[in-house]
Amino acid sequence: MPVEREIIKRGMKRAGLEKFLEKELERAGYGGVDVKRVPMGTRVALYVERPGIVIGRKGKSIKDLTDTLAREYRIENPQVEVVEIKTPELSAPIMAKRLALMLERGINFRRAGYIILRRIMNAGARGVEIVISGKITGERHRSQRFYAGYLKKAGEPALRLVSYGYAVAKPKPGVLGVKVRVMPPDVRLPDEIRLKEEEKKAEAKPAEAAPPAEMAPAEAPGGEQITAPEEPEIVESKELREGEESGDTQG
Amino acid sequence: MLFVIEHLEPKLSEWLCIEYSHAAQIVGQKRLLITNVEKEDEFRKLAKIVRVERKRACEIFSQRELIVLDPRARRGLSPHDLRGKRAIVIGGILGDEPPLGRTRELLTETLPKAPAKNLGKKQLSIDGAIYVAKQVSEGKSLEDVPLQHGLEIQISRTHSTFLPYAYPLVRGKPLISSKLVAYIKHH
Repeated sequence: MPVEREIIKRGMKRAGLEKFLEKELERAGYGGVDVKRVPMGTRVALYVERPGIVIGRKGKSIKDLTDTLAREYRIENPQVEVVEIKTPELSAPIMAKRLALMLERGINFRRAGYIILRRIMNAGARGVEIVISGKITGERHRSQRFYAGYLKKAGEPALRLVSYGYAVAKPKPGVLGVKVRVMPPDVRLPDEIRLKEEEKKAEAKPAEAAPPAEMAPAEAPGGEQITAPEEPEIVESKELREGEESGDTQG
Repeated sequence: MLFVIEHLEPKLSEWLCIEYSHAAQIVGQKRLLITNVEKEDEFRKLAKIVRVERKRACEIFSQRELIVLDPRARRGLSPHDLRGKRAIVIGGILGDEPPLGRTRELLTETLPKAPAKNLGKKQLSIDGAIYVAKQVSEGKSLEDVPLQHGLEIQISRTHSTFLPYAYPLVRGKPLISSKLVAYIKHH
């Protein structure tokens, strides 16, 4: 088989899988899938808001899902992993779905757009763009764009770092498309260069300021250590503000 | 040359009303006729702005006197096409993006003997189409009428509306009714 056909076939398989998971895990707050080949088979990481629904009672739902993936999508020895999205506000597919639901319930598009925009920005996102397209008030087709902060829209960082979500709202006047793009707070852009010396200083500072052994930093439930914020992060937030002023999202 | 807008939307919305009234401003009230206005309340509302007819264009004029503007027509409108014609017929439709081809279905097919022409590849608003048609009727070719594709209207610091249609440029600025801009900002 020519290479091109193989690539198209894989792409279609992937799109079909995503569509299936989106429908199947709608109630669980589906936020994306990550499929990776590992020596033991295929690792399928499902990002969801409510993992309990995916797993089901005594793991029945996840077992059924694993069987379906192996049988219908021919995924070799799938090892399904359910990853909880701790901040759903930073997941664009979840927020797009929420916005679509709000529009279907009849909430004014402007109010709904601003609510979602505020929620995402309050969760700490660096930037967000929301686009609602269609015959919004039942008249001419138009696109409503809500945006804030700094968001990469082109190039490799836009593909790799920006979370993208799409949902369809079906209110009575007609179908509306909802697109959400979120740039998470912890992304490091390629032009944000830190010198090794600065990195060392940043690492050394919290160590100096660290409390004595009996007052060691508390441990988070997940096993992660809670430490004082490092100084370079303050620099980054300053850069973010500059980025906001430059209005990169308005392009 | 008479400009005819065949009202084809099931409801006369505020947006449509603004576009019709702007079209009347562009060509003058006497040179614009809106046909196929069947509902009494819509007729009364439009009669205040422009000349209105309850009948369809095909019932008022002979088809050979007309030229239909349809985005799906094969050829573009030229001044030469308007020789011997009495009126240019434009569909009164608020479009979709991508266009659904409703003009062909609702207008061009009812006028099989009238030649159909387009105003370029991009979809225009009703008033924009009237302006371009007027320019062509005055002797300009389509290429001489500059267009801008898409128009973004800033509503607040974090909100804007994008209209995915072509707008003719007049002295470098897109032609859109100020009433419509105000309407979009509030609705």
